[in-house]
Amino acid sequence: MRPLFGLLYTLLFFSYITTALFVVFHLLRYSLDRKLAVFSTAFFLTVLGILLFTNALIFFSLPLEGFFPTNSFF
Amino acid sequence: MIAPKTFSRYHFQGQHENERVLKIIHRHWFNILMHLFVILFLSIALVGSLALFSVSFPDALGDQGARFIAFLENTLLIFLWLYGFLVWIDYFFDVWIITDERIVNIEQKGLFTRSISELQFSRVQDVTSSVNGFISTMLNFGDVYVQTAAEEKRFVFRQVADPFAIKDEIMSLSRGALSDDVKTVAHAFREKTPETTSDTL
Repeated sequence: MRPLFGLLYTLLFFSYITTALFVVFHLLRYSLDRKLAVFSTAFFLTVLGILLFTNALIFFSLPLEGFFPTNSFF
Repeated sequence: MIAPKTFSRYHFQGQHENERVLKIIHRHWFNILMHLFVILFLSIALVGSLALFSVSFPDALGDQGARFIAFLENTLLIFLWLYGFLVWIDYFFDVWIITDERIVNIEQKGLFTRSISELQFSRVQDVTSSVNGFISTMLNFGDVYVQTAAEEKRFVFRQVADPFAIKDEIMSLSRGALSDDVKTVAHAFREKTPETTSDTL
């Protein structure tokens, strides 16, 4: 069960990263004010970094087998 | 005394060499407030429910359940954070730039649709502004329609702050551009026919 959840979580994690890359691209490429572009990108990435780090930390501490026990009867 | 806001630090793609940015116009803040309200409400509800639940029922879920709920909350916060910035991009990069030469409209829709159109002041024929509704009247925001000389669709500034002032500014810039055009034509005419004019004078 754990490898399946690991795979799903990896896909989810990469979707966060892809969306974040598009957001950063827009902030840096299309901002009219360079200072604001750098500030908003730094702010976005800092908060997202903290959220992703804690998310991964919590995920890897989850006892996944405990939530979905395998039935030994069959 | 408050110094007038300068836009010298603003630059946009396709800006001409000596072109000066006079005004940058975004949609009114009320517009994004409506979008961000959902995000703010959900964030407060999430954080509030987590705090309330752990205080009210400290032993109900146990360690595993608490960790699982924390994971869900964190995942939702990531979604809200990304969604919030997508809304911000849609709002902040949807912009009208008034320069001393023209009006540039940059329209951003989501991440993958972006269109840029421009209008020279000399082509402006008529400018109309309208404020509709109670909130718009109270907060002074509305639409500005710029009609060009050609049979093209109108140039629209949607939900912008102080539309009447924007209308006046466009009209005065347009009048300036027209008188400049008249001067240029007159100058060209004088250069082309110097003898005729000197003879008649």
